Amino acid sequence: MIKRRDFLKVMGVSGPAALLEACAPPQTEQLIPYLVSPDNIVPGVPAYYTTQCRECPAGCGMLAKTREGRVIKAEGNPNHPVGQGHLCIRGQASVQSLYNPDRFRGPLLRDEGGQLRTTDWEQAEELLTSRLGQIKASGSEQRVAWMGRLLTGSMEQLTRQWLQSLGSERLLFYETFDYEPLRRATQIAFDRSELPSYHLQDARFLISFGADFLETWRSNVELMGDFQRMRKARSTERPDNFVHISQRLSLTASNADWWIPITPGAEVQLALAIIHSILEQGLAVPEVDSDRGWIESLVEPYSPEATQNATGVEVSSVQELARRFSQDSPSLALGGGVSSTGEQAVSLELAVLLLNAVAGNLGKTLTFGIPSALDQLATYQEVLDLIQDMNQEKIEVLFLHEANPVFTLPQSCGFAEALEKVPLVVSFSRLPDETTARADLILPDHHFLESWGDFSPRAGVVSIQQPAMQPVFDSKATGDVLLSTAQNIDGMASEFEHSNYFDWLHAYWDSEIRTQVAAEQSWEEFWPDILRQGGHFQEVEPVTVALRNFSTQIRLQPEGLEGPEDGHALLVYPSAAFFDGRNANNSWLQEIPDPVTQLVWDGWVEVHPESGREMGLQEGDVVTVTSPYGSVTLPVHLFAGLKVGVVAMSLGQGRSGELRYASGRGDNPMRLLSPQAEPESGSLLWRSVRVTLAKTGERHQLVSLQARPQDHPRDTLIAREVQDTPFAEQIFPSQLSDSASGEEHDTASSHHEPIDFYPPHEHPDHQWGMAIDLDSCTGCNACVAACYAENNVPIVGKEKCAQGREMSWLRIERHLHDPPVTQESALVQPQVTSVPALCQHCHNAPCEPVCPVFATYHNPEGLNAQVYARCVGTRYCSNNCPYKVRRFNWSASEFPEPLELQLNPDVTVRTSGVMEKCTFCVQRIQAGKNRAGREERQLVDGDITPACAQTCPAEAILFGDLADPDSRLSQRVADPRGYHLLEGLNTRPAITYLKKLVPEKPFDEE
Amino acid sequence: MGKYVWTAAAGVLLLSLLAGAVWLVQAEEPYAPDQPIAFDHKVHVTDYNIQCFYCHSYVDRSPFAGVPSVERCMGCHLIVARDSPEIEKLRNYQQSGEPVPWIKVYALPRFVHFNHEAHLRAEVQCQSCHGAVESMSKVTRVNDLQMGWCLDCHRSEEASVDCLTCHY
Repeated sequence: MIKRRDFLKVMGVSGPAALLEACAPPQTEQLIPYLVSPDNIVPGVPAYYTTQCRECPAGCGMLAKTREGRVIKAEGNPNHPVGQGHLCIRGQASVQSLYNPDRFRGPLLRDEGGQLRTTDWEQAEELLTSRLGQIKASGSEQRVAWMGRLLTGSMEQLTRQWLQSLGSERLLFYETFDYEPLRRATQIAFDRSELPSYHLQDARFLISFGADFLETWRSNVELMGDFQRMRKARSTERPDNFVHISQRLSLTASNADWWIPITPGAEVQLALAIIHSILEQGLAVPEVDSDRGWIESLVEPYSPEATQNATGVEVSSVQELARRFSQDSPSLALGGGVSSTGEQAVSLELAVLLLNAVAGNLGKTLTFGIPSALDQLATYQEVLDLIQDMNQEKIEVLFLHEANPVFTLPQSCGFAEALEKVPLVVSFSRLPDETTARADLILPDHHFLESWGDFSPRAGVVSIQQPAMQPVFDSKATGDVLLSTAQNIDGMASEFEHSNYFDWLHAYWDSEIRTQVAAEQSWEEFWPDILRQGGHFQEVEPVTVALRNFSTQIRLQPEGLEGPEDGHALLVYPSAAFFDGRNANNSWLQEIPDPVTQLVWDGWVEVHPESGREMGLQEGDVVTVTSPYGSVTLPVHLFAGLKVGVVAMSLGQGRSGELRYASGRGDNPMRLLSPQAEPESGSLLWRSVRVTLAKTGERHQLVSLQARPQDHPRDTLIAREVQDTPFAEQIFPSQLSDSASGEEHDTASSHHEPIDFYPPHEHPDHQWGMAIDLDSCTGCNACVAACYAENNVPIVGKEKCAQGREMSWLRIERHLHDPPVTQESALVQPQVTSVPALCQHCHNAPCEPVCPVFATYHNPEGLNAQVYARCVGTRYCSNNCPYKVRRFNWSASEFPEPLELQLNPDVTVRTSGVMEKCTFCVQRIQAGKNRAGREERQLVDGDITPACAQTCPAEAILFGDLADPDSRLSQRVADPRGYHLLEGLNTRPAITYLKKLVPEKPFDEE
Repeated sequence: MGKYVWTAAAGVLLLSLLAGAVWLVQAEEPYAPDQPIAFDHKVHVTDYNIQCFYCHSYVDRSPFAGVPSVERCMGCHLIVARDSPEIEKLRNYQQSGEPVPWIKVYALPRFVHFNHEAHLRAEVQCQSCHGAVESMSKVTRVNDLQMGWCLDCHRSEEASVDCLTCHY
């Protein structure tokens, strides 16, 4: 046994000597050249390819940023009319779905024992061609069916022709979320079976009857941009111009000035009551004079007084809604969202269209004649018909393309069981899912970033999709599979001129598009322009429509929900991140908090605290939720943003199969829904059941990334005890006149001029800063995903998130305030401000003086620099940061193969023991300076845009040079709404926040 | 232990110093790794006057100077010195579709972002950092690439010494 003293003596002498051994010679690093250097690629310089995002049917244009042949980042395409240079959280996360480690490595075949085993394309296609060859030879009709995502253009043409050649017309474009009730309503009201186009940017007053247009409804990036234009144009006297009517305080509702929590089914009556009041106040536009007769008799029983009990909205509020909707012209009313599609869906849409008509919005904020691709969707009823045919063994081969109906259809409709009756089920899915678990043949399609394609989300917009890199795995473009099998089936080869999809697409664009829009150009002139722009875009003139008398076609009985009377109405809503569950295996999307509840890595059922009290439920209690059709098991999340009597679940979690990030979380609400279709439109009945909740006795930890009131207040950015005034992020119109621009941004109760201990820093060349407009920020988290992608931010998983160890450099803090304006009204002021919290790059940064090794310092251009190589991990800087935006690497980051291909080579990947934080995308600053140097010019405003600012669909973040008096930023920070976070601490941040403008008076007060 | 503790300590120290001395002596030998093909810069640059940029062609437009693609080499060597055994190795690489796996001599750690383009704009000669490559038959590292060495030049040439210039 060595004595302690002896041990210390030996170590003390020999210890330092051991350090000498630590200096080993460098590992050999290789320098790999090209075999043949590509013409346009310079290693070290990114190459951008125009393409389009296919994460949802909105079809935003995208620029895929590649480095050395790998896609590393997705950006919006500024030339593209959908998205206009921005992408939502799903678009930003699409690079992760490209490199998803659980993607199929190649084709798979199910063997006799029921196991999936790998095969090669030759064998896989041979199986297919032999079966299809038999079908074609036997001449049997309609034996082949295709159920897949919405297709347009060349792929639609190919698929349709291919199926027809096999004797089938069964081509179902299936999307989980459809808009059939709206399309049925436009057919009834205007004799046009097409979805209308909305022009929010021109509206002066907006009412949404549950359409979550900032999240998943129609085209959320485009609508968010239009919404912000609408908001910027509002008056400061009455800044409230958006009312959202729904059962749940969704993200969209959180951004409304007023939220009406309404009983399920009462929306129609409210819409009709508003119309009644418009007519009564004599505010209807002359254009509907000829229809007054039937409109008046239609709405006669639905006066504000008569509907007050059902809707819960006071007469005065309805009258004010009617008045403002008519007088703040043009206005706009949006119809029901997915989650509120119940038996009344078509009637609601009709009522909303009528409301728009009497207010004179037709042809202004609501136009027709620009058909949407969504008009081509198959209805849920058509899917049910297919299921019936499958059960009757009429289908021999079923193709599933970008569709997972076993998960996304109500389980009660029996799709999974019907699959058993189909002899050959072929899926083109890239990832294992609930449907591939029952497929016989899996032919994984390329990811959209790896393949050619085209998509036209609406008339006038035809986007091109280019492969931005070679396929990561042994997948094959579905178009190529179709054409190569056609070559090998007797009688089919002659019908298909091309043997691969690339040629097919070119032929289509030449003969169908170029001849229509650029006939005077040759192909060689036309095609490079298309690739440069991202497609062909042109304005389409809307058509005028005439309102028809639909009074006999609107059904106004109360909405029926199946289930016990004392149950809770069930609301199933699309997830902004996972959409319909397709992105659940994306680790960024699991770790980036749900914008409304701030919960991560979980599924849950939302229950109002009052209902929770009644049922004896606490946060985290695991309950069984039972409907007449099935049950799910979920933990309870108490959420006050619900109409009492409603429980809500998002669709997205509850995935199963070999999905390392998604499996085993939450449960699938589609187990609970009714299989019936809505009879009028054939759509799915999303709101169809009442459910009961029963405690299982188990508890489940729900992890929230934002401290709740019961948690330590220091973890929340705006700690109340430090804050100078309450509701610092918000400003009332009357306060605007009080603060003169040009004065030091000061909160009301301050006080003295701040006294600095040291002379100010000098910024001879540039002083980088930011302005974040809280009035624009919707809290959608697109910026957070962009930051993860740009800066190689690692994922830590649920357990570490519970310890507060998530690594996000940028987070959206959701601040809820007690309404300062008390009122006895059904109109609730959501009072939610979303505050993006990131490193403030303080002038007097508290983190800098406490670093013992000078790893963080104030750089000559105003940035708070963090040098990873110097950091030894004392974490004193994070301790001292009042904004809590510094993240420590408690462990080494892991990027399971092939996710490491997504890493940005311009940003160091940090090891454990090192502190990191927002750098204002310093790599982009350096790249911008380099570019300016190369072009022998000075930097100009707009040369440098950090990832967060670039993707924000609301354009809430502005980056620029404070040292340049002409920069947009310098103008913006002079805004009277400007303030700094925790101003009283005198950190002097480089980021100016602009306060959100909130209404001062109750809604119905003049 | 007890009475031998100081002996033990001295022994460990002596051994460590010896090992350290051996290492120091070893480190004096310049780093000139064997390359997969014995490429001779002296022949190509001094004898045949090929400019640096002809092969290291990205140096004026990228942070990376680049190494020539196999195609670039074969541009001449399809005809020139066909029979040399080194050229045969080159041909084998080309035919097998595998690029030549050169060993990096001037390797900076991953957390340093060096930009060749900016240095070229500042009119820094290749030889300032890479030595007289034109007279090297085998590429040899002529300095230890320590940060102090970078800073010496940055200070004397009044280039930026802000950490964020290279460390981000």
